[in-house]
Amino acid sequence: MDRNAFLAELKTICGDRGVLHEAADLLVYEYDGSVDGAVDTERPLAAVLPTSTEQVSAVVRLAYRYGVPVVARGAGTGLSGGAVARGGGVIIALTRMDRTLRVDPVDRNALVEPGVINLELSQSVGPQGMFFAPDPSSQKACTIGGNVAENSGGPHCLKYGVTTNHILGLEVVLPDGTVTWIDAHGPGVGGLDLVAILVGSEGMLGIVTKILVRLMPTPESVHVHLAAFGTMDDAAACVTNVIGAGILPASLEMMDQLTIKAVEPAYHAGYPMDAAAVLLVEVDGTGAEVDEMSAQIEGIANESGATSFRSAQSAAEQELLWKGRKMALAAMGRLAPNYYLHDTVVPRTRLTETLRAVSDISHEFRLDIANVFHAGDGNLHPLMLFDRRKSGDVERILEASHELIKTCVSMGGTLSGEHGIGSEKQGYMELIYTGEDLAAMAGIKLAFDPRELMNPEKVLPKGYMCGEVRALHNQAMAQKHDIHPM
Amino acid sequence: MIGTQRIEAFAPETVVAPSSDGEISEILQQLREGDAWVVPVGGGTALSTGNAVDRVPVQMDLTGVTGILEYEPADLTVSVRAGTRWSDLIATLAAHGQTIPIDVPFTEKATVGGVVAAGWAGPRRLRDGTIKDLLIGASYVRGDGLIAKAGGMVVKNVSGFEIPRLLHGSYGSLAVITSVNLKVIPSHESELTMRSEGVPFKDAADGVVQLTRSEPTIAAAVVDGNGAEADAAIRLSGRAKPIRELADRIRLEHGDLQLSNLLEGKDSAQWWQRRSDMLAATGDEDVMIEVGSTPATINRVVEQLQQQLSGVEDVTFYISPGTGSLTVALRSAALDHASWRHVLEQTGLGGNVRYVVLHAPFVWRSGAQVWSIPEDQRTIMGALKHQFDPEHRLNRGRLWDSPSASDQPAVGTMESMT
Repeated sequence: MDRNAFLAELKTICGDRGVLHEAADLLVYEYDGSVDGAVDTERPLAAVLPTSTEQVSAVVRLAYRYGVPVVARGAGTGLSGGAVARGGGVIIALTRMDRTLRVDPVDRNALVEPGVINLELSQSVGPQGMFFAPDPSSQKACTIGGNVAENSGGPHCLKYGVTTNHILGLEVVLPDGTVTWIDAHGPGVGGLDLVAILVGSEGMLGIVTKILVRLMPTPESVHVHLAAFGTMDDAAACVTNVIGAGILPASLEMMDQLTIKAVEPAYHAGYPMDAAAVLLVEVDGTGAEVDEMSAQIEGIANESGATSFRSAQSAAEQELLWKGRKMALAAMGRLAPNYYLHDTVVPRTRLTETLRAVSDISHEFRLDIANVFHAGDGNLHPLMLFDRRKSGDVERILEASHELIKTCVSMGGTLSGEHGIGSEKQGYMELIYTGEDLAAMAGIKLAFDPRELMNPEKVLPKGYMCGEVRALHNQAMAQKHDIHPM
Repeated sequence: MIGTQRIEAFAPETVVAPSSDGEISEILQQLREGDAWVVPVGGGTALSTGNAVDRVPVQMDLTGVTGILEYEPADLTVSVRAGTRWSDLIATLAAHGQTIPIDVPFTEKATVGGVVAAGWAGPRRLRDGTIKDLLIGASYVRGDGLIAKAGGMVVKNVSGFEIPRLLHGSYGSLAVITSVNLKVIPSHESELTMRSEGVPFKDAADGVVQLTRSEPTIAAAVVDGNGAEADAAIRLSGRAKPIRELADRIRLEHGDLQLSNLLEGKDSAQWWQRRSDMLAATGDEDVMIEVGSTPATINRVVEQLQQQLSGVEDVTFYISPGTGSLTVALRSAALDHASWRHVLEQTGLGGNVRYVVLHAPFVWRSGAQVWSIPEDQRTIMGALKHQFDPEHRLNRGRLWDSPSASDQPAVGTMESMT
């Protein structure tokens, strides 16, 4: 391939200032938010910053013609290596496409470009009594396009569901550069639900250039409570008891002692320093509903052995209680220079057992592991603390990670609740899926992207792409029917 | 057992009743030899949706694929085999104070797999969403016989492509669904329905749109009528005290809707079940078409349709204003499919209006492409079909595809990759 000719053509599409190709300019595009070591970094051939669907389409068409891979990128906050260009290729950074094109307060939706920042969308529609429900921890920086690619979650997904539950339609640039609008299944909409398969496809099937998001009505009343516990077991039991009692809080978050130690001195959120764990519970709804639920939750917390239970008395106090949770990752710097954040999910009834197993792993590998997570969903976020400068530390956390993921799967769990597979966990896919399961997933990729140019070498483990899939399937069928092809 | 139920006007040429994924796979693979295909059938309650099929070489009765595979009430998840009757699933959940808030017609016939495959949704999608929102995993057998699964038994999962959600509403055109994993919810403590009868149509339609806009916790709201007069019904569910307060507020602030007729608890639930059954219990000559709209535009769409259909007798509108769903019921003799398309064009609403023919007699649909799927989307749908069911062994012709139109994937071929 004539690199210079290719770059020149990119510049005619995106302009000189919309194309980066010098090593120094590309450095930031070698990474995303993942842990270096768990995910390989790679220098892209170029990074482009289009400002319109037409430009994205033209870049994709050009890359298709040259056979060059393309990788869509939002804010680069992803935690599974999704935005790293494996094998080089062009990074299409969508951060300049950041306009909110339309807000409809009657139908409660908004049409946005992919570069709109998650929190800014909720802030901008707030005065009209609405919000965008998915709220990942990175919401101050991450983009809606990235949320669509990763099917992002967040604390409030317990009640409101993850990103896929909030996407009504998408404008997509397909791998050959074709632009098409697709609707999610809804009244009168038949055929295959292409939105359902696009959301969470980690940029492997198409690049989203417009997103019609559902907005939720701001609840009439919100209460935030903090329950402290003397043991992790009691806190986990409280989670099971709340859910088991038929109460659906807006969010139900747990933080363990190590997290409290990091957070409290930094942000003074009011978490008891002597607690083994705290639960942060938010309930919302109508006034009467929230009062009733709050009383019930306090009762259950006390029965589950809470050592204290406190309800925020003002919006400022609510915000402070949340600040501790939202800044927990940032506060980890007080404990160790580096951390590796995991994202496994287990059935809620296996939480107690799983947390004990995490503690065992911490002892076995002599690693500090902090837990700060979406307990109501069973979505664990064990943070392994380490120091990259110490020899052996990275290897140790990788070994411990392997053990942790295997343990969660053995509890009936899964690899990722909201961070995605990317290149970080593709090697683990065979832990939860059979060869046939993966061959079927590869079929989805082939339907959209037969030349495998969009975010290649992600999600599916090696050996499940391209011709290998059909060969594998045919071989299985032949064996079954005792056919011996030449 | 449904046995040799007639599909369209045709008796199936063969009926098979597999009981396992392996048997289903075997059957599909044996078909590779000839020019036959399989029509998967659950409770048989949605067989006249979509395009007409003029042959049923093999009817695959899935009502033997039954049973709860896994149910841990405290996890609020259940895994159930596809042929399980909806009523059996709901009864199992109810014994533990849990449920799935979906409106399913003929619950004693309809199967869980059928509800997912048909993407069925009723008025409760207003607040509680559809079964797609509750679907966390599925096992399936592809048209080419491959046995696979995706998702799991956890409520949050982004590990690989969302195939279960793709199978939702695919009408058995990609794979035979053999089991599904669903989120369940705690049963509501209390429920209440507020009804009015014989209210001027426009007042009811406008009033209910206003109401669902100002009270987002309403579970369902419908307006049914022929254009002059309408009946309205509002469903409230949740904790007893808040819903009583909400009912009082609705009476006070939306008095013009005259929602004076109250139904509580079981009576309320039964009223909605009867409405669901009634909408599905269509006679041989009835046509039911669901038209997609939005809360902001639905009443304009209804008005336009009323105008264009003013010369047509026996037209009834079943509207769920807050969801944008509008079902038009008419007699097949009064308007054929081409005329229906013409009516839509005349409304001036443009080609943006999407619709699904939920039910119509064979002759009404015969020879017509009754799905309103934009051409550019069919290309990628065809490519997906090609991956799942390359020889069109599943439900040939029912959805939007025909073997001649989409045998070749337009997006790309295996050969072009090498």
